[in-house]
Amino acid sequence: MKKIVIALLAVGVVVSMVLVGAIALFTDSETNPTNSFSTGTIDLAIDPATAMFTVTDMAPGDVEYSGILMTNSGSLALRYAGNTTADGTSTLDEQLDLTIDVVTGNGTDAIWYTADDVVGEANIYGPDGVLSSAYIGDPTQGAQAGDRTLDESGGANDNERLRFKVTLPSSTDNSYQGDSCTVSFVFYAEQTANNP
Amino acid sequence: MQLRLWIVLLSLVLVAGLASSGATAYFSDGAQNPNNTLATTVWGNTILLSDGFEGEPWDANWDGNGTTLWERNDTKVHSGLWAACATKSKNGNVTTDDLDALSATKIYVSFWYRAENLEAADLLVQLYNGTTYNTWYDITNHSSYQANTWCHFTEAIIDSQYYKSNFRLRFDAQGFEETGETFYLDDVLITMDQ
Repeated sequence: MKKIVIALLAVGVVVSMVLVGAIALFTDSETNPTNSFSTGTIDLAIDPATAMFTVTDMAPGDVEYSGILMTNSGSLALRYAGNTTADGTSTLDEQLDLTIDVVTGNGTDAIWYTADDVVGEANIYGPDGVLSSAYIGDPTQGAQAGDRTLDESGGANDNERLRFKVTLPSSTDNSYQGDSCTVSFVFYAEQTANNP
Repeated sequence: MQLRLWIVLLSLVLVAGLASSGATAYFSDGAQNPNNTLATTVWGNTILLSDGFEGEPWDANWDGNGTTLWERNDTKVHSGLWAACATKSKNGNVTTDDLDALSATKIYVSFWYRAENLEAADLLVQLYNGTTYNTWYDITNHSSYQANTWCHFTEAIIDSQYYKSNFRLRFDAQGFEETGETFYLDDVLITMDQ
């Protein structure tokens, strides 16, 4: 009986090998290699990054100009908004007026940020709004009224120049003598792609 | 049984919330132009130098660190009778004497200037940190700059490397190479907070 079982098993093995040989197929494979994915960047650069105003000895009626170059240094288009961080201990920044214009040329004096600049878009803040509560657009996510857009770095419109005009109104009374304030201008950028 | 049901439901809500917040994330960035200061008074509670070049000798506050080729001029002044002046033939630098700013927490620099026919890098405003002179501004790049008129330069130094007992301010006109290039300097005021 044992011999019969062994014989049957041997026959089974042989039959299996024959069957396996009978269903063999030619095959091939190809690889599409090195598919890569990377994310873009949102990088808003400003120049100067240090204070654009350091003004002393202001008197009623004084006007001070300065400016800032906003550049998209990232690889994705962006929109930005901005506002002022007010001086919490002085009221001078509430008394000072601010006008922000987009300038496209330097006028006749060869200098940006002076009275005769070529203004491309006037009063993106102001005219003569309150310095301490100044804003450009709205940093809330998504496209908001007044937000500024810049193309990706290298694009046709990847930068713009903002002129800041600060005025101490002629109506400023004696209570502001000997006063000073410190403010920061803060800018917020976000992607425009897939972010209506 | 009810408790388990609530736990399962809360977990589902949490997972859905996380998935939802992930779906609305956007790339963003920020930038800041900080510490803009505006004042109706001169800053600094200690005067380090106040000079309109009216005294004798005119460079008494500017001769402790080498004599200057600059001269005093009365043709164009901001105030008083005199201003310091650099031209092609009177170029080089003019440097303050040592100013003790060791206890400073901020240094303020104010001066009036009139630039005629200058090119980029002709006139450099430099600061001395006790070891080297570093260019602070090319005057033609300063926001106050306008040619052929009196301009008011006001800036604060917030870099502590200059808070030294031998702090100096230098005006370097070594770039003056052409006739007509002229720089008038008047009413220099350097103060500090301490």
